[in-house]
Amino acid sequence: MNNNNKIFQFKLVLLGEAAVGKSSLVLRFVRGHFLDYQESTIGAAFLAQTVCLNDTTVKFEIWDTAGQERYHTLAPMYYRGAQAAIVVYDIRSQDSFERAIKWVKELQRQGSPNIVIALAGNKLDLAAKRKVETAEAQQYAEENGLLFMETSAKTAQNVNELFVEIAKKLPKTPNPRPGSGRLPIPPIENNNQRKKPCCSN
Amino acid sequence: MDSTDNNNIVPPVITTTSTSTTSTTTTATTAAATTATTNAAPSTVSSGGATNDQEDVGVSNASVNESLAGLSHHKQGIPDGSYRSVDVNGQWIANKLKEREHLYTEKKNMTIFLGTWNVNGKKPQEPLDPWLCDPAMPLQPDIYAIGFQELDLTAEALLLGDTTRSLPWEQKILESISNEYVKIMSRQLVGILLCVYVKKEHRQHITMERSDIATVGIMGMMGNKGGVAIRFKFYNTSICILNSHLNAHLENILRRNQDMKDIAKNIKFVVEDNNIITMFDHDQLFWIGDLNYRIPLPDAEVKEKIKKKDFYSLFLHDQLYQQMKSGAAFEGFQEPPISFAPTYKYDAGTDVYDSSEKKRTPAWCDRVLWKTSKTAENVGILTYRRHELLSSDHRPVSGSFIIKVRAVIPEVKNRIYQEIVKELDKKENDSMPDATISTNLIDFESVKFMVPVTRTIVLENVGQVIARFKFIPKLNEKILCKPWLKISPFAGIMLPKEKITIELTVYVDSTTSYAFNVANETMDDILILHLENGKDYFISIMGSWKPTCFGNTLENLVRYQGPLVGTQPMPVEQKKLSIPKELWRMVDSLYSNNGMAEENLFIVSGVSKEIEQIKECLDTGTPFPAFSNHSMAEVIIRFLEALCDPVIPFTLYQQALDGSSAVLSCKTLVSHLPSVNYNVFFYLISFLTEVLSHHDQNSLSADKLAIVFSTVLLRPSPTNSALVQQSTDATIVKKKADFIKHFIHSHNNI
Ligand SMILES: Nc1nc2c(ncn2[C@@H]2O[C@H](COP(=O)(O)OP(=O)(O)O)[C@@H](O)[C@H]2O)c(=O)[nH]1
Ligand SMILES: [Mg+2]
Repeated sequence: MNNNNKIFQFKLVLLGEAAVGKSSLVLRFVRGHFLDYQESTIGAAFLAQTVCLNDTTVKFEIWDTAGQERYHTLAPMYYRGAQAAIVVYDIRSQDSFERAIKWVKELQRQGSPNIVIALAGNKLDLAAKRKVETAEAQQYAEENGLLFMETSAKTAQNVNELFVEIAKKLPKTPNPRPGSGRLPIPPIENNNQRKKPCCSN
Repeated sequence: MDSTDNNNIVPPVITTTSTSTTSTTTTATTAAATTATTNAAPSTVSSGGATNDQEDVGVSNASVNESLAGLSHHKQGIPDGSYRSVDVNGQWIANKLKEREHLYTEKKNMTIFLGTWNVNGKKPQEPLDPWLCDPAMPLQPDIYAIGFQELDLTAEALLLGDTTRSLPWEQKILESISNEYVKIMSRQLVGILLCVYVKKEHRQHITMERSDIATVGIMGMMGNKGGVAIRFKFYNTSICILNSHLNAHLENILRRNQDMKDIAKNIKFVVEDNNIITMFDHDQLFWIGDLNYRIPLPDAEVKEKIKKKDFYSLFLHDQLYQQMKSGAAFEGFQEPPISFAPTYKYDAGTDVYDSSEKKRTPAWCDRVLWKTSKTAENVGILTYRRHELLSSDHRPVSGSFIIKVRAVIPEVKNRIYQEIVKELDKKENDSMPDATISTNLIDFESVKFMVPVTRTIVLENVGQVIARFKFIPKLNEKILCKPWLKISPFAGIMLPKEKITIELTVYVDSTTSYAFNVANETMDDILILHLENGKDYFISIMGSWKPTCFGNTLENLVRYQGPLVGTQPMPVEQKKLSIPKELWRMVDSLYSNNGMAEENLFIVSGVSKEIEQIKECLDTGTPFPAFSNHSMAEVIIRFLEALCDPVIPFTLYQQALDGSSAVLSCKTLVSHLPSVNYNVFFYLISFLTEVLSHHDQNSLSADKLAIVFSTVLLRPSPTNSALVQQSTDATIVKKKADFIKHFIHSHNNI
């Protein structure tokens, strides 16, 4: 417990189809509440939350992203440099599960090399309308080395647990590199060298 | 640490920009204002200067980027993410944890045993049990601090620092105290030895063990007199123990007082963070040893009082008591009441006070004193005694005390730690800027060539802190938005509850129309509005562009057999029109409408409503409505002026000017034009020649026509600001006109 004072900082990003409950999971984890009408995210929201483990403290810098397909191309801005990702789907929607798998693949291809990925089947409180079987998702997660949990942002079931599991799995290197916790702002160059609307050649 | 400082620096760029933007209303003035303020700002913006294009007035990113260069410059000072540095947070948490220490610690009584014995150079003979584990002792001590003097009187110890003599004594100690104890540390200075032991169960709560020595011998060099100190932290309580041997002899009171002060001054410890502390920087300080203070009474009187156990009246004459009372030495120290006979000087091995010739008067040489710091709780006295070990001429003495320490309750500390961390998270999250945005979708609807369309977004600071916002480029991009869009302001600052209106203006001119007219791009984009330290908002941009012959290219236009609206261009490899049909339609309609005879054709302005109708008809292919010849003539000029690349291409502009005085070089240049340009050029020249042939009606001259047409046929690239600036100079205007005039005059000769 002497180690308590060591804080390791990690960037975590939430990905997944719109309306699966990404923002709700963050809200539950960070603020401890749930909104039946959660405004949809058009952009990316940033929050911080710390998890105390037995011997270390892990601070998450959480980026919640927009799930709409039209913003897909902007997602790399947010998962770039992230050491952890939660890919969320709605257990009532096979489509959202398929989309989650696509996200996992994209992260494995283009995310940080040792990124810890967790797959979260959300809205567990609505299990009566389940379309994605636990075993199916579990198996996919195992085959791909992902953490897996079914959660409910509404009842808080498994929400803290999910973040704690991620915190445990993250490598605690002695010299924590917080990655690019904030949005990297690339250098701006003057835009005067416009594409010449020229046909002379 | 310095990054935290940097965080407070607001770069002048941001401040000035935002103040200018709040007051501006029209896009044009905003552009001017933004440029002006950024130029006025100090060298922060220097990086953008080199290729700056001042001609870019109407639209765009140029000034934006220049200012952003300033912004990004500022950004460099703060490596992303690091100003919420882990260390800073850790420190804050540690401080808060310290503040709440009383909540997660409990008071515990610990006993400390302090023993002192001048062994007069003797080697250990008898067991030390009577001294160290007196069965009368009420509690088994948690800490033993055992000091010796005159442990080694040999020359080796004095001169060579040999400390081997301490080993048998340490061995002897271990034989007496049980194996429940471990040594914390021991330190020796010639004959002075101090050993500290602690019960094993407490070992992990002993931290920052340090020791030091101070000599007060001859010139401070010889260690025959002096002190040895050991300090450590026991749970949360800092403890320092000093064992000393001060100078001897009845009359040396002042010398002893000085010894004490010298030792106190010279003992130093280096602790956490390289802090240097003294003996007095401890919660509990114990001073033990052969302090050598005597009783200045006749020997017989002293012995008489001892016999009667009248220690109290004897103690009133004790030199140390007197010195402490007068404040001459050991200021602030305390001593438990003495209820035992003087411990010096005995005939070794006996119970008889000194029977030698010197006949030293008995004295309490061997003492245990303590001093508690003002901020700590005083110790409780358990015992203060002498012990009957006979081998030396001194008797050992011990004092035992209760010290109150605060021990951590791990579960509680953990809980409080988590509370503090959560509290910090909450503060941090609450202090993040938050804003609402009036819309995430901007639809410019139908956008026309060179007609600005403005839409607004209202951003409101709904957070509790100042919100700094700025538009940022997408990943791997360098510009905030497409060149046909202008954001004003593109960065700013809002106080809580403050609103700001951001204007987004599309404006497509010949520098940007290529994308839509030729490359068939759509008017879709996503802007990212970033709140510093907070969230990002995505704003989708939409607009519909109707293809038009204005802001087009000759090469592209000749691929359309039908109107631009509604027809597909012919494939590139197929046969093309020789000149754009739009140009032909305009010239032809002037002919039909008896335009040649119109006075001051191309000089007098047209009617703007008619001009708009004509443009519309050109693109849709519908017949022209009734028009005045001046309107049609103006559209011809505007058509040529709007070409993305003029009839004499930008690349040949300078060459054309340079050769404008020589007919031959002008003709050579024209003969090398791309075929469409060549066709258009001569189509226009023949038209102008025709116009001139009606000069008695239209009062035009070759000079007038050459000036009007040269400005649209022969234009510098808008990206070359130097050329653009010169192009209105009289000499340049003349050169350009000369170029055209060669052809109008000599047309019949080609
Ligand atoms: N019943 C139930 N509803 C949820 C749960 N999580 C989110 N929701 C609801 O699902 C909708 C979409 O949630 P949101 O967090 O905005 O999804 P996001 O687009 O992925 O961020 C909201 O109406 C939430 O109230 C959950 O665990 N159970
Ligand atoms: Mg959301």
